[in-house]
Amino acid sequence: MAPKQRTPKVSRNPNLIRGIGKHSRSKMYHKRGLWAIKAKNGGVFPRHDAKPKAPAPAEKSPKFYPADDVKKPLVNRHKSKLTKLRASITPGTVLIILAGRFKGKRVVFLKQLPSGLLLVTGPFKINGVPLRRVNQAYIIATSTKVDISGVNVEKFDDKYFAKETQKKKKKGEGEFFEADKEEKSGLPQEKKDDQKAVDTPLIKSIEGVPDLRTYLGARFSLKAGMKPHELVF
Amino acid sequence: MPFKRYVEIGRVALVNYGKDYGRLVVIVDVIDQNRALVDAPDMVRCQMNFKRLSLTDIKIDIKRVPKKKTLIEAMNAADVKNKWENSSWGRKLIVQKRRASLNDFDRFKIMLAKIKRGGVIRQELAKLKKQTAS
Repeated sequence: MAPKQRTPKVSRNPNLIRGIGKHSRSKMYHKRGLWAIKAKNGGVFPRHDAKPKAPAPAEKSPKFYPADDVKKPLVNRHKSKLTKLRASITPGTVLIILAGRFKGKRVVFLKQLPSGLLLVTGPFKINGVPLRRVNQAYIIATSTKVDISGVNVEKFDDKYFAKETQKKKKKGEGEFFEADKEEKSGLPQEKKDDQKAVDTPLIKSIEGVPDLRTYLGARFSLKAGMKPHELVF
Repeated sequence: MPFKRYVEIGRVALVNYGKDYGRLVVIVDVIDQNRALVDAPDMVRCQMNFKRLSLTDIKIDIKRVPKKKTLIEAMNAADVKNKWENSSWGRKLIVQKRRASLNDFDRFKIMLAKIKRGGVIRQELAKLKKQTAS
């Protein structure tokens, strides 16, 4: 059956207090229209008999029974929520990266990925930071915002950033060093095009603000007399 | 050296400690050796220790414990706000507040402006040096 558009289930019985509804059972019977359903069906509630199921394929007895009883782990259906994004971080915010290869770089925030990490770009031409994921814990959000309306970031998700799995090669002693050199392939052209597609409208809106381009190209550092707990970012 | 700023009714003071830090208040009465009754247009009249007050040069003309309306009229007549904001002390405080509220981007722009200004000054200096040398 094709999925129907369902309106969300609304309760016709408002809560006076949690656990106690306003209307009694008989009132609710009338409200829900159960009398009309019964009347339509000749005084009885409609019965839906079970649909005849296709006969399940005959199950063969397993070939192999393990010698000892192996305990199965309990089912865990826990789904963690997306990391809460700090209120100061909105699309277009300039962030300062605090750790890693690009520490101190000022970078533009694009969106939060389903894994909770933040998608961020330099832009690459301005400060050398490519489209990259960064954890919220390692950034400072400034109050400077860049206009991000011209940028389309729909296609980026965590799978885009997954590492390429390498096929297992049989390595002999002599081939060890040569193999390492061969496996370093450059960035695929597709990623370079993606970078350009994201960066061009961004750079245009950045050029509109005076000094913003040099600002993004410079690194942040603490100078003498700067107290981080008193600084307004 | 004689004292120039006296604790008197109508003396404008700056609160330098506590919840109302940085507020300009008027001394409307003296309670005892240590405390004053103090009032400001946007504040409930309260008592404060003199140690929490820094006296300013500004004085307004009021009677002991005026009503709020009278106080506001007297402050407008003496033009306390403008006098304070044009005094060097008041201007310094305004600059301090502005500096404290600067954005990271603002600080960067100020750095660029300072470098530019230094460059211009150095050019002028070099020109003047050349003139005196020749």
